[in-house]
Amino acid sequence: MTTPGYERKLRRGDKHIDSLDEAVQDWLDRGGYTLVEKTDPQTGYQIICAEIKEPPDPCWPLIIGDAIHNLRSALDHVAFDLAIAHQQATKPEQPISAERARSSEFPVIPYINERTGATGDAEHRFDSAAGSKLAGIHPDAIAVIKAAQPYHRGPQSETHELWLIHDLDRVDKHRELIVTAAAAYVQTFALGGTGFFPQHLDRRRGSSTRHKGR
Amino acid sequence: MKFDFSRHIAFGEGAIAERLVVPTLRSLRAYLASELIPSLEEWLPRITASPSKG
Repeated sequence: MTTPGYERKLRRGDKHIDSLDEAVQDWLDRGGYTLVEKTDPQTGYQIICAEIKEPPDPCWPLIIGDAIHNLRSALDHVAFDLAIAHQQATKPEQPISAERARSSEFPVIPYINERTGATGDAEHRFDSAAGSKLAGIHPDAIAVIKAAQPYHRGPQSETHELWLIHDLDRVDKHRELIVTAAAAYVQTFALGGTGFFPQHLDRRRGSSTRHKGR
Repeated sequence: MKFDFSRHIAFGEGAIAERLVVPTLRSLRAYLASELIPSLEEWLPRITASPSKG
């Protein structure tokens, strides 16, 4: 049986993520950057800088963009496969129309209306987008897609997985993703002669309390 | 004073600046494969499920 398109897109994304992971680890193993402590002569503060020894490979943003694009495409394949399945279940004698195939897309709706800045119309924006992008899909499947929309997180919708995939893909299409060579994530610090103690990153969604410095 | 950075890189670009690249990509992929797509499986064409990663 043929592997569905969304699964193939996810697997293709895996290859990009794995190759990026390997490249980043190699760079770190070669000592891509080192940490340097300095004292600010004016304030007397201790400053910790990341000194880049080897610039990150300029191909990394391209690999990231490819990985993200595969994830976004997987979503669109899901939407199209849902339309095909419903068509086959309801009108098996008719192929899906060209117009429906063209407009098929997995909608991703944020809390804030990007055009107007309004925040109260997200459900309307979803229903409007679904009318064309999800035409011909089983209503219960549309309800599941609607329930998964980022706008349900309110002002935190930009932390939603669907929004990150959608937005990063847009960013990559129009301008290059910027890779930062080093970043510090410090959740707690202690004074008393022993300094900072970065903890393991908490990757649970919506629970970040990180403070960032570079 | 000791300071130990995590062995990660991060992307810039506004709101995404604080996100770590590889773990984030894997987490986004896992969300699709383990949460979103299974929730729609009932309405997807019947296929042999393949093992998902992430």
